[in-house]
Order: sequence, then C-alpha cells, then structure tokens
Amino acid sequence: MVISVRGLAKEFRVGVLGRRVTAVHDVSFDVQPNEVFGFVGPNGSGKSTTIHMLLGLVRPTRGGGSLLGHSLGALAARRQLGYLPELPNFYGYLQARELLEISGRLAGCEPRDLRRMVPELLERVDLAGRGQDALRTFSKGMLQRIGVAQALIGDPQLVILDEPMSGLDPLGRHVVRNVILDLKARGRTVFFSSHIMPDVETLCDRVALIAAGRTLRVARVEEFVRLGQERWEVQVRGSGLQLPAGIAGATWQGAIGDVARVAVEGTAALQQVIDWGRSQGELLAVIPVRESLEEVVVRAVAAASSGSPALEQPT
Amino acid sequence: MTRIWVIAQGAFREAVRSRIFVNLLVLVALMVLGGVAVEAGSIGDTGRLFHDIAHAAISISGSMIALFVGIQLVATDIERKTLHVFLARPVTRFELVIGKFLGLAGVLAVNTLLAAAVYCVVALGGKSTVLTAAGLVSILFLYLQFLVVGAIAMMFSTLSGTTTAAVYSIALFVVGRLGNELARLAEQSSRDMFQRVAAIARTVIPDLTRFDVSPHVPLPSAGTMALAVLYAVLWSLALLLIGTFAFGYRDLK
Repeated sequence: MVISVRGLAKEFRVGVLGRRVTAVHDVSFDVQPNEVFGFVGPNGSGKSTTIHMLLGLVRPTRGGGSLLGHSLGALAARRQLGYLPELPNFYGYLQARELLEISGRLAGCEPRDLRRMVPELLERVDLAGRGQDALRTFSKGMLQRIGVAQALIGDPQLVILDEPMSGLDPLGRHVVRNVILDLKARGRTVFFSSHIMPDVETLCDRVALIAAGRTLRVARVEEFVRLGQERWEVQVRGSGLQLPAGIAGATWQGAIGDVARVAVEGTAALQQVIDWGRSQGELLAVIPVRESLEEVVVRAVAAASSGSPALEQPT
Repeated sequence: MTRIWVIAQGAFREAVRSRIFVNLLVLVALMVLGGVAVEAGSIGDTGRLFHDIAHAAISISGSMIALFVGIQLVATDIERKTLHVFLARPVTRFELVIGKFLGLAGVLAVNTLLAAAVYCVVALGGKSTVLTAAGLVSILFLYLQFLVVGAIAMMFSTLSGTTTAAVYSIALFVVGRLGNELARLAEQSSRDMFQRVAAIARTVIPDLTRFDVSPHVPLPSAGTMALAVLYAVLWSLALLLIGTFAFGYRDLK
C-alpha cells in the first residue's frame, strides 16, 4: 500500500481561549501502487488538512497510518514523494530554474543531474524559456505549473497534488492532465484532490469522497456513477401528447415537433411512462442517462449534511 | 549537511534580494558620511564623533536586519505557506531552522563587511579621522551581537506569528541592551524582589551589552574576545534549539 490511513482526525485550538475546532473527524482510505487516486469533497471538508497530516506538517489528534511503508510524515517517506500545495506560494525573488534546483537539491538530486532535469521539467509544464524569469512575474496558472514541476523533480514514487487544476486555463489543465497520465504510465502513484469533477472522472482509478471531515465512500469511479439513481429519457411520438399528473419521478421535458421527451427517475416511474407512451402514441426510445460524478458527489454531500446515508460507509 | 547548505543559500539569497537589506546599507553609508560632516563642524575630541556615529549606523542597520529578516525567514514563510514545499521534502525542521539561521548569519556578515568597508575608506580618507584596531574589533563585536539578535528573532518566529514575533523580539532586544542599566538599578534598589527579578532577567535574557566595545579604548584582551565569541555562540545555539524544539510540535496548517 502506498498510503493507508485509518480513523485520521485533527482538532485545532484557535483563538486566545484555545477554542477547539475539529477539521477532520474520521478519514480512512488506502491508495494502491500505480493508482491515480482522487480525493474529493467540498470546501472545508478537510482535504488539505488530511494531506498535511500525510506529509507530517500537521500532527493527527487521533488515528494514523502509513506513507510509502513508513509512518506519516517520516523522512524516509518524504524522500520518495513530491508535493504541490493548494494555491502554491513560492519565493517571488527566485527564478523558476532556481526553485527547481533548490527543490531538487533538497530531494537529494546531484547538481549534474539537475542540469538535465530542470530544462526537461520546464518543457514538460510548458514553461520552457521562462527558467530565468523571477516567480513574482508569473501568472497564477504559471505558478501552478511550476509548482507541479517542482513536485516532479527527483522522479518521486508518489506525487501528492492539492488542487492541481486550480487557477489553470484549459491549456494548463491539459498540461497537468498529461503529466498525471504520464506519471501513471511510468508506474508512479498520484494522489490528488480536486473540485473539478470531470478531471477526476477522466483521470482517477479510484476516488475517496470526504465531507465534513469524514470519508463517505471510497470506490472506483464507475462504482460511484453506478451509485447514482437510475435515470432515463423516454421519447414518444404522437400529437397533442400530455403527461398525466401523478407519475412520481417523471418530468415533462418538452416536445420537438411531434416527439415528446420525458425525464424519468426510478424503475417504477419508467414502467408507467412506457405504458403511457405505448397507449398514447409510438414509443421511440428509452435512453439511459448516466449520472456524472459531479452529480453523485453533490447529491451525496447534500445527503450527508442532512444526515441521511446517501452512500455506503467505507468498510 | 547538503540540505542545511541549500536552505542557507536560499535564505541568504532571499535576504540579500530584499529591499530592507539595500535600504539599510544605504542608511549606513549616509550615516558614516554624515559622521564626517558632523566631525568637520565639531570642536575638540578629533575623530571621536565620527567613530561613534559610524558605529551607531552599523549597529542600527545590523540589528534591524537581524530582527526583521530573522522574523521574515520563518514566521512570514509559515504564514505564506512557502515552507510547506520544503518541509514536504526530506528536510527536518532542525535543518530548516539552522539553515535559515546560517543564511541570516551570512547576510549579516556581508552587511557588516560592507559597512566596515565604508567606515574604513572614510576613516582612512578623512582629514580628522583615523582607523584604529579597536574600531575594527568593536565592529566584530557588533557582528556577534547581531548573531544573538538574529537567533532571538528566529526563535520567536518559530513559536508565533510575524507580529507577535516582532513584538517579543524587539522587547527582548531592548531588555538585552539594558543589561548594565538593569544591574546598576538592582544594586541601587533596596527591594529584594527587584534585585531577584533583575538577576533572573540577566540570566535568562542574553546580555547584549557584553558586545559593547568602545573604539576609543585599548583593544580588549584575547581572553575577553574569546569569551564574547563563546557567549554569542552558546546563546545563539540555545535560542535556536528552543526554537527548533517548539517548531517540531507546531502544526503548519
């Protein structure tokens, strides 16, 4: 296991009176080697605090785990990982090249290797030719990309990216997506948190969904999507069609010419709509509508905050 | 050692490229030149005024760099989360603090050397000024004081935020500079309590007046100089160890 955490919790003391604030209540998940693992949840759900606990920047109040076969935050584990913080803030006086050199030296790279690595990495994140520029002249997206580059220096086994797509334009997102896919192809493990669900859906093998400091579910992306309620679009041809009231789960979507479209949720409603379509005209199609990961996540988080178990708890 | 060296280089680069460093160097140059002008217009005590003003300039600029850059190197980096990337690498917090301090020590050395160079050039070139060995040794002693002040600033910056660290560091610096006054007041006081408090303060707060060497008196003995170096090294080390120990338990949100 590359990462394994059980019952991770963190309580901070804030203010002069030391008021207790729990940022993470109970987080558990495992990350397998060569996996692209998505860490998903709304703002303030405890994603970054969990990542900080993995890295040893924050000490867990309860629970624990292992990182690359060592305890969380251990020096031996940090020798084999790269990290991009959320909204990275680098020293503005440094040149892009200098940042990569410093990161590389701290990761244990030899100067002669860095002379080869640094231009390669700048090229990889589409910043070739900007190596001599001070970081204070970089845009938000460029800082994000140089942050990704510094996380990759030393070719780490595990790369932890906290919101890597944040602040990136479509081209920047394309660059970072390619970096993640390339890491996967070269046998590395990637753990990344993100708000951008289409990226998570495209890139991740498995996803951990976290809300209010608790893991709601850890599963493969396909399993997450399958968890969504069954939905269909039913198309019926006929003149003057009107959906009868009283079919719970059926919604009139309008008509194009003489073809009516009805959105349906749940198998009971589906059967009723099919019967109605056949009786009123010609049933043209029953098209399953796949729920996106984003919809599943939004629904699951809303359900969790209202106290109903929308998703299974992790085992 | 490599990691400490890399961090020290980074800290040095950060401080040297900061505006405060350049501004304070300009201030020193202006004050030293101002000292010549004041000297020229004064009567009696030839050379004395120039040396006093030059030393004050070097002392002010060095202390300010030690205090403000010392705080900036850790507390500001924690607040801006610039340290997170480095601490996610195989770097211990001890290595980070020591590396940053060595970088600061390097900056202070460059600042003191440049200031001393201006002082020497002006002293040698002036009509009414002379360069004395005691004058140079007193600058070396000032450097030792800067190291201790830098260690104070770094200790507080590992424990708290920028503003709090600045307040405590300046307070400790002021009390440290009052070492002799405190002892004199304690001797004159009839209250046991005040004498005890003064004694404790002199024990737990570095006495920065130990580094005061007048450029107008004969050279201090080799023993005195060695003791001053030892005093500066031990205090700096103790302060940095306290800072590192506390920093080790600090959550970096």
